[in-house]
Amino acid sequence: MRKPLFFAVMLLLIGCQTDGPKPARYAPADPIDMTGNWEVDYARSDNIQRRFNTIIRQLQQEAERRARAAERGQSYSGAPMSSGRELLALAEMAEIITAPELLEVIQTDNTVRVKRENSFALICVTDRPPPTITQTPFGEERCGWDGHQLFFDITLPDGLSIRHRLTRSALADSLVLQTAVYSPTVREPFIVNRVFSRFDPSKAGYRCTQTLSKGTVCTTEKPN
Amino acid sequence: MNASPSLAILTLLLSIVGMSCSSPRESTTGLPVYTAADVSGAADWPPPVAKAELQLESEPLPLEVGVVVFEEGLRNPDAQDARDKLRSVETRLAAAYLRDILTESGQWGAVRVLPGASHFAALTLSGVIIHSDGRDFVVDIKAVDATNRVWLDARFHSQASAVEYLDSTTEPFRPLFVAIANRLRVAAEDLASTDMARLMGVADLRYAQELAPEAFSAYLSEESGFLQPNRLPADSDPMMARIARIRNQEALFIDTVDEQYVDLREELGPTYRLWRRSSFEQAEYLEAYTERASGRELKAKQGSFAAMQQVYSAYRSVRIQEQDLFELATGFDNETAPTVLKVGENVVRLGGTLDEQYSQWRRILGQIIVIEQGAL
Repeated sequence: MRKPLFFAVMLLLIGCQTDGPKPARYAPADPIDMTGNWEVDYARSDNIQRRFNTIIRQLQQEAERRARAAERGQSYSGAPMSSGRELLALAEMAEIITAPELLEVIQTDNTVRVKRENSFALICVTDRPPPTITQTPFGEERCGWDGHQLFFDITLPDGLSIRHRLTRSALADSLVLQTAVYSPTVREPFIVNRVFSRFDPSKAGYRCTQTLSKGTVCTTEKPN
Repeated sequence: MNASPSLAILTLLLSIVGMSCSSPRESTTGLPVYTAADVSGAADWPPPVAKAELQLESEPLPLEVGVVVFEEGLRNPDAQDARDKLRSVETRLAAAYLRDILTESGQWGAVRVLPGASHFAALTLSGVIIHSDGRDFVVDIKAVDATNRVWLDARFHSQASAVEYLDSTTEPFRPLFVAIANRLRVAAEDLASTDMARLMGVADLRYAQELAPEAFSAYLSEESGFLQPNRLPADSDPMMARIARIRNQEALFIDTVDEQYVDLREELGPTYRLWRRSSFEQAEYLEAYTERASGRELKAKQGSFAAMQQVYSAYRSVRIQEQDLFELATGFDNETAPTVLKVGENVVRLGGTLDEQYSQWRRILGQIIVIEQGAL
């Protein structure tokens, strides 16, 4: 008779642990112009392998602490540990999600469109209080301005969540895209910071336009 | 015996767990959540019209018909849709195509595309494009005559198939325009010949009233929302002869504007068709993919790379497909903007000129009326 009660209490205690990020509160919108073309600056960005190694080291230290506590017959009150394999899976996902090296931000008074090379664009309608919610059969996107940061929270089935935060530097010469990937089986999100530097695509000596009948059409002529 | 309190606590705890761990997929903000269905409003579409033959008439009705350039309908509330730009081209092309179908039917007198609402024609058709993506075309059509009688007020939906795109000379949504033409014909059959004569009289007077309100205000009155003639001017009324001359002048203007739509269709027609075909293929693919991916079971263990990759790939594919549609529309816009701008400017310029002409004629007519009244 007591078992269901015990089970429910345990659910209450541990149930939320794997439920991804909590709903956020947002600071008043303070939009910043991020328009332009941006390319990743690897020197200033996180190295996923190094970050993974760091987390693994932390996990090992944690495991050692638990082992020592067990040897002394002490109980250890920490949360359950993530497995190395699940963490590796999360790191691999983070690598895929943060792969785009080029961004193009097109910003109007009511929309921000972050085009990402070889991935889908992050699009947000910003003329209403955040978050703007878009639902598809395969997941939900929430976006908006949180102060001067632009956020995109993507919630996918099976507990996978992705949170992007885009911040522009005060000098307007770089963007930081912070991506946190949450898995239901890993305690902490895997966070990757990518720094992007502004670049001028016209310096390549040509510019391209998307057309319907001819595809991408490029010209070396200067715009009027 | 002790089960009830335990179960109650259990239920309470489970409900707390449920609340505190509610899925982030549910809107917790109370803000509207936009889904694809909300945006397109597909639930409000009638079934697609069946293919039917256009009813041809050898004896046209003596009614002139004006098809007002369609309006852009429900905009995507996300305001991020380049298809909204495309709609501005479609509004003109669709009105021009409806004009062609009505002319082809041989049921009517002169059928003209009007740049804006006017009392120029005895029967005026207006339309609102609700949805257009190459596969589904949905419009609201309203036909009102000069007496304010509504001939037709309905939503039409046509669905194209791949076959319609095989032949580049056929309009994929022709059944929709044929259905409108045939419905109008049915509405016309309800009109007795005496009503037809009265309608034409009211149309002339209404147009005249628009130009010289003081001179013609006594000729028409409104009863239960419908205009009725109180009396008719004499055939020899010189004012009516002047009005007829002005009307011909306006017809010339409208025909000039109409030429612009023909040019627009010739210049943009192939690109517009290409967009519709590509859009059709995208829509078909997206639907098939959605169906396929929805039915796919998640076999990998939760939290494994395979499981995460599967859900992310499905989401990424759908978003990319949706955005390819956007890019197609952007490509269309990039390619056609100069032409549309040129036509738009011309139309605006002609419209402006038409307005000026109206004003001038009204002033002249007013002066004539004053002179004639003074002579009496």
